[in-house]
Amino acid sequence: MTRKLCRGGSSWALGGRRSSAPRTDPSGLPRKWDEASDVIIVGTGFAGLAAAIEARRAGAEVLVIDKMRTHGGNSIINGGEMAAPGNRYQKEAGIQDSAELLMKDMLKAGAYLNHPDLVRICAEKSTEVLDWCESVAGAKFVKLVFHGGHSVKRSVQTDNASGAGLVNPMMAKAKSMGVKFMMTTKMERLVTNREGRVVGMEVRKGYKFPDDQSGKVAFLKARRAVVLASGGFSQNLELRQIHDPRIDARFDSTNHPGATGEATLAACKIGAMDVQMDWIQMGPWTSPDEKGFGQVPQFCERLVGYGLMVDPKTGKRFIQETGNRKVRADAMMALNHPVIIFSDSVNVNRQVLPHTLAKGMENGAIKKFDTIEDLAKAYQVPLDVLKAEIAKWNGFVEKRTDSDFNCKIFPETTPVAVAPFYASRLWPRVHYCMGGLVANKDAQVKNFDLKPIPSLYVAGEAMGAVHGAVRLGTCSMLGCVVFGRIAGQNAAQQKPWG
Amino acid sequence: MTFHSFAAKLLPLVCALLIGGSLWAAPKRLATAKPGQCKACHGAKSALPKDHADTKGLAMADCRGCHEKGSSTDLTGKLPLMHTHQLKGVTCAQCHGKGKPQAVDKDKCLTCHALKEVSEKTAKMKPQNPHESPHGYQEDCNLCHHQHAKSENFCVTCHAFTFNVP
Ligand SMILES: Cc1cc2nc3c(=O)[nH]c(=O)nc-3n(C[C@H](O)[C@H](O)[C@H](O)COP(=O)(O)OP(=O)(O)OC[C@H]3O[C@@H](n4cnc5c(N)ncnc54)[C@H](O)[C@@H]3O)c2cc1C
Repeated sequence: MTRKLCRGGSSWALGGRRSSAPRTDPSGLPRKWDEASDVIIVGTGFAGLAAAIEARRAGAEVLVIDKMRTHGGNSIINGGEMAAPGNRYQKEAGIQDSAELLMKDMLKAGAYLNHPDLVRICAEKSTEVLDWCESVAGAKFVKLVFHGGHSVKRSVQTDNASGAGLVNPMMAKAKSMGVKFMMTTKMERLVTNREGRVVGMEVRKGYKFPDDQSGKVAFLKARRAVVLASGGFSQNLELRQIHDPRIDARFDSTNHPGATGEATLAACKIGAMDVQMDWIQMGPWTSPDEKGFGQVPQFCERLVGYGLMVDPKTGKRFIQETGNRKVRADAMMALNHPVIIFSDSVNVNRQVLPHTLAKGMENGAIKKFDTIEDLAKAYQVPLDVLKAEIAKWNGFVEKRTDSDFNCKIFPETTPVAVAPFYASRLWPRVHYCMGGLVANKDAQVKNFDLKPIPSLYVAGEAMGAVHGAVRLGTCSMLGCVVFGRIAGQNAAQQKPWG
Repeated sequence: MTFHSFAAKLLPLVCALLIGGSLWAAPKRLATAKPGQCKACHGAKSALPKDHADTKGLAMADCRGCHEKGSSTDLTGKLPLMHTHQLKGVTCAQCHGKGKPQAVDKDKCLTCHALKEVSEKTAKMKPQNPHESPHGYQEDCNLCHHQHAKSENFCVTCHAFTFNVP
């Protein structure tokens, strides 16, 4: 992944084409810095932009780099849904919520593997995040949504139902404040001085993803600090298989192609510690019949508890449909082939947004059937078993309890009976990396002496152990903004070294 | 190390020789070439099929006489955009200015192509108007539309949208 020529702290980097004189001294420090800024931030997603705005507000000169042609990483393609306890929409709807309840939910979903001090900060700051995103960053959040695993309806969604609804206003705000941006600039190595303080980085300017040899080597001096907001590694097949060998090439990812994690590894090379890298979240709601994130997640998640998830080979249900992401994805991976989810027109029309249904049918990932026979034929499901399974499910619906898998059956759930029927195939995709760099509550990265590495901060998906075993939906956006802000504020306070 | 630095020095030289010796028949980008005068840049070996009508003095509207939009011979996505510009009378200097040509920022595009108008033109495209991306990618024309290389459909990074990008 990294360039062969100037790997490690003690190798010499080549400078341009004309001169072969080494650009670094034997300790890896450049003889000349090409550019300098008080704070340098790697990544233009929620975390990086929140850090940039805060560092600038604190008076620092800020430079943000990103290796891709477009800004926003995973943040700009996300669903724009953010957990925000105590928000105005909850108050309007009479929903009681608190930071403590969010903390409980996050820890429970995370199987108590989350570092509690990080979760606490995340929860405590969660009540002010929405206000910050709206009044400082200039975003608009327009509605309240529910996500599995949360005790109450508490997440808010941006006005364009995309993370772009927060990223783009943040970007505009940062630019208007004088934050500088350098796209197609890839961080390859963190540069430390003799005391182990991070003093800058080696980058490739004019980098063309994913060509490791593209662009020109340059050195950026960070007078005060560096913030890593470089995201996860869901798209790095080799790295993710090192940590979870099951997640091989059979699995696509919902992430942007640049989610490859080399910045995290670069931090490890200067002594940073990583944690929980093998907790990689698979999204159990994606369809193999469409690309990327697609429409089916919105079809599937609205239908769980209102329809059946079936293994087409046996015609039987195999998992609690309303279980968390991990339980469901693990079950599908154990089956080793796509499964189906379906329900009837009454449940589907009540639960699924018309827009989702129309788009999913248009691209062929959601299919409509006039009879259960047609459905069984299309997915090669044994018809008799399937019919018996539906009858059984309808019995559970009548009784409001599922004695097979304990699926949540909602008050509005009706039997699967009225044609037409809608179905979709499901196969998990790599969605989120819970693991990352070890950090303290001030967003400082820790080393193997369990001490903060001077002048190195981390925020967002690159920070490990905030979410533990299972990240709750809509909590990433929250964590990105909370720790991005903290990292930016603290980075700006570091004493300049030169 | 030594070998690499030697190779690094040699590379530009080799490239220069290759290009200079026109072993690569890369078209020239002659600012003085008249639109329709293919040979000025492409050399004697014409880029056009053998029995193609003489293009001398033709403008884009004339090309469209045969290459009708939407027909099987539509040039959309085939002709690098800079040709379309030239054939419509937009010269190199109008975008690049005088002196050594530099890469052009999207603001230049917007002086003629207001985003709102472009978006209206593509409003009916299925399954999505490419100029109404929720991610805001329409803000950077250069992501998809290239002048001197084949344009690309940036949406396919994540979506199966089959756009033919001019
Ligand atoms: C399709 C999808 C939908 C989602 N929906 C939601 C949701 O609704 N709610 C929610 O809370 N979470 C959601 N998530 C998760 C969430 O969006 C991400 O976890 C979050 O955006 C990560 O933000 P970040 O700032 O940490 O990193 P990113 O937004 O991924 O940004 C990291 C940036 O760093 C750059 N970078 C990486 N390495 C380098 C390097 N070496 N040099 C220079 N630049 C580098 C990358 O190019 C990238 O632009 C979703 C994720 C996806 C993929």
